[in-house]
Amino acid sequence: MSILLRYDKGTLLIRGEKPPFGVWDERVQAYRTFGMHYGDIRRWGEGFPPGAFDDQALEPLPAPVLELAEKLRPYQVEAVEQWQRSGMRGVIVLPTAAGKTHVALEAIRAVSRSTLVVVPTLDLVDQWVKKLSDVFKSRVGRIGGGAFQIEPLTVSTYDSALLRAESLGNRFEFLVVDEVHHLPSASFRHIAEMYLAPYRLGLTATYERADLLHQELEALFGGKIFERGYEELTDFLADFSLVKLPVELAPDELTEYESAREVFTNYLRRHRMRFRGPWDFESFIRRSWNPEGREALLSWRKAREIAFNPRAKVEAVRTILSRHRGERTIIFTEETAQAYLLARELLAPCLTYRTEEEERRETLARFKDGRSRILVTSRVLDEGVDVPEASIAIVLSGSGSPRQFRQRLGRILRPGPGKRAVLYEVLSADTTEMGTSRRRKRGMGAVLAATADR
Amino acid sequence: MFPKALLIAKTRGETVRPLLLSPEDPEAVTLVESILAAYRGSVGRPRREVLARIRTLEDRAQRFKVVRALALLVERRSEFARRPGPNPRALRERIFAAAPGGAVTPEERQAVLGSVAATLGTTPEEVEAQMWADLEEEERLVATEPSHPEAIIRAFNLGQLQTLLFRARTLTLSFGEETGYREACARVKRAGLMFTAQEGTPPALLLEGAVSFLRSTERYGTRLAGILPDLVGLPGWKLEAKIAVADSIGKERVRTLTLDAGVGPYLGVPAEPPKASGLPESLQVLLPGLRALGCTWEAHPSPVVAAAGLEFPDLKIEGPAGSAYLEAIGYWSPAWVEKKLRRTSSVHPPYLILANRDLAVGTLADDPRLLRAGKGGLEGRELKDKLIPRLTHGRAEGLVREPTTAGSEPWGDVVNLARTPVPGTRMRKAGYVILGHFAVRETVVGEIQRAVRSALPDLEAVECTLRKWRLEPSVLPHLGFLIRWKGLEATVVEA
Repeated sequence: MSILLRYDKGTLLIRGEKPPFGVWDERVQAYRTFGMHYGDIRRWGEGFPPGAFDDQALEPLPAPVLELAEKLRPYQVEAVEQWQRSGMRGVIVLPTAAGKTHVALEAIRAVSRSTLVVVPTLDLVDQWVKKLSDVFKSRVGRIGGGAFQIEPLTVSTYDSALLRAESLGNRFEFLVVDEVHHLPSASFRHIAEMYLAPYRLGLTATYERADLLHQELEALFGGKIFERGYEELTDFLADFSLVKLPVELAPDELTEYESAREVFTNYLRRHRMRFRGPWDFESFIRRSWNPEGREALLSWRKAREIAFNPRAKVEAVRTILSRHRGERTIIFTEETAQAYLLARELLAPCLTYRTEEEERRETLARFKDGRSRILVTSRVLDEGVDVPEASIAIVLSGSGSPRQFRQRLGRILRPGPGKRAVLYEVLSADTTEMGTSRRRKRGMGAVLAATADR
Repeated sequence: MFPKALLIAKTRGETVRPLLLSPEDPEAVTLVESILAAYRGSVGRPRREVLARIRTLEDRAQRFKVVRALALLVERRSEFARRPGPNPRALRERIFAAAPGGAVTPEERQAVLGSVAATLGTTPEEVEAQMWADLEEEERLVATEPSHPEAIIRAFNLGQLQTLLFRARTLTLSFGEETGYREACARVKRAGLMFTAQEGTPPALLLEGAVSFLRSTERYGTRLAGILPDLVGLPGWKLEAKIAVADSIGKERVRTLTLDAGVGPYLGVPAEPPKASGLPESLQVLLPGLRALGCTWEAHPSPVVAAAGLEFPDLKIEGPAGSAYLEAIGYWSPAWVEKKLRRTSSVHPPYLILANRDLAVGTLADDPRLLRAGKGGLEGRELKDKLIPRLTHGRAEGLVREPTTAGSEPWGDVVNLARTPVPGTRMRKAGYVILGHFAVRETVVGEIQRAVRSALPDLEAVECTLRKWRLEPSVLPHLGFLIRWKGLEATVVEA
């Protein structure tokens, strides 16, 4: 009996015999499974006599002919070799600014099959398209932000890759996912599941997720196969220092902050709740459906808002800017509204998830070429976007996530001649923000010891 | 419909039910009135202020989600517009050009605003107010449609139910009366939903949900939820849906939602029940042509008993030489089309299916009972080869599907191995070469290659040539030709 393998909108249909991972689908009288098992099923198919296994699933775009002239750093070579030894599947973890893209380029060259690169933002789409076309001197397709152009080398946003998974899932043999820690979310995991691509490479600076979902990357992408930290790569990054700048709340702000905190902490005490991780916070949110819990939640929010946005922070930013006049500076906020508030105050460009495509490009271009030397942004620039010219970062507000902190720091670490990068954390003294600042630097002991934490 | 975050549903045991508000509940009416008042009192104000007022209502309410969902409905009935004045984007360009290093001190800020205002002949205050006027939260409220609180409450209830149904895995509709059932069939078909009939008098309809197998699709889910308002006006309906709902630890469990006509007062019954939908457009355009051929037809004939239950044709066509059933299908997957063809294979007169060409892929395209329609309706060739010969005298030979069983030698010049599963070795021994899933008699390969070469480089012309041998473009690489892709479209063939 012969086996027929077909692609059906993100899944594989197998007729003839039960394949590994196959689930019987009564409606179509065939076995069905996720596209991601294609590699395993193809290997299973090799056990059949010639001609008995009819693989009509993959319809790849023509394989590109690729050559790479760039020379890789030793740890990048090591990363690619490890990935090849792992069956051309797996996740490589390198700090921001350590050149993950170059690792991917070498992997793409090594595979030399139709490749889809999936990235979280439109800015990263631009960046990858430019890099791929510069390096491989080849046309590069683009999906996302209104563009839909497919080539053997194509770059897509997560959203579009998911949206088009049904139709594009069998067109690429190699799937590269940048910032792959986003992949194990409820919806984006479908990208990994629906695409057939037997060759897979994930890239990230921060593999672990607080919700532990990174464990799923094992099945979806082949798990972590290579990792290096900042402390191991100092020779390849710009010199940098971290400066903590506490500011005092105004008396009225402090009173309001403390009374909101009190409502919140009293609630926790009454219900014997402790926050040890995101799951505790989630349980707090779940309990906030009743008036008492809701009051506690609103008070928590209010206190956080005051700590994020005291009037003194704007003054602190002015002081830092006047000290670094002429240097390229990125100001990070946790919330969009705060970013616009500051941009309005400083008459500076602002980049948030609301900024439209054309203006995003223009704003980034302006910052890169120095027509603007300040850029205010919320969380959208946390990841990936390459601005080697930036040397000063001001974190006006942020979460306690070490990932976010490392990513923001990474934005100013691309090496440059004589470059000395500084990251300022502007913090509200006597608030929980001081603790947040400590939390986000967890696991960076070795790096921090090497810098002056004033 | 609401975003998932605004769904307020309660589970009890194995059942699930969304929160439905009584349109006569004074508390709910007062709440909606205060939301309406917040909007009406904010005309001319930016959206962020309107939202701040709604946040205050949320903070005071026992269930903030109810306020947020009701406010969303009022927001959808409101109009916002950008503050008039200079184009904010162009204005920003001027400001950034005037201050490449930003305005570090308040004095610098005043100077930049002043200089930009001077070039535009306006005031610094106007420049400041207009700088980010294109942000959504800066848009001004122009007006809010006058609405009765009861109408908003009913829309809330409908939205809650639809949001839940969007996530249904299966949905069973049953009816006390034949009329309701016939109407529902027409609507379900019109919405392009996948369904089968279950035994009963009248039969129940079993609808496939959007998240029924491995994946969920938004478009399908929206259509499924969209049939609810249509049902409300029908007599004696009952609905049972199996819905995956996350429990307190986030794990999805399947629960049951049951609804019947009793929910009518919560949703508002349309003054006049909507009439059965007419024929789909793809069929309507066929009618003049059929008339010209001397055919007559019956729209929405009685259901047909088929292999696995009932089928619901759109038309029964009687022609001078024969008759046929015809059904147009909408948003179905190729696998379902295949199943549908199998289920209707023994129906007499023949049961034809009209589907979008995207669904008629691979060997399905050749099925004599599957008519492919493109954007402009039924394709001419399909009409000529597959429909007309069944109804009128003339090319009746096109009716008979070629035998698909193996062993009926001698074979033709070309054998489709996907449909005639003969071992490749046997074909080779018989003087064939294997090109993908086709076996082609060695003696005609050269002829085919020459014909393809003369049709180069236009892919359509090449496809047309291949069709004469009942071959598909997938054989081209085996014949030594290369298809060049432009985007997702294969356009040019090269030798």
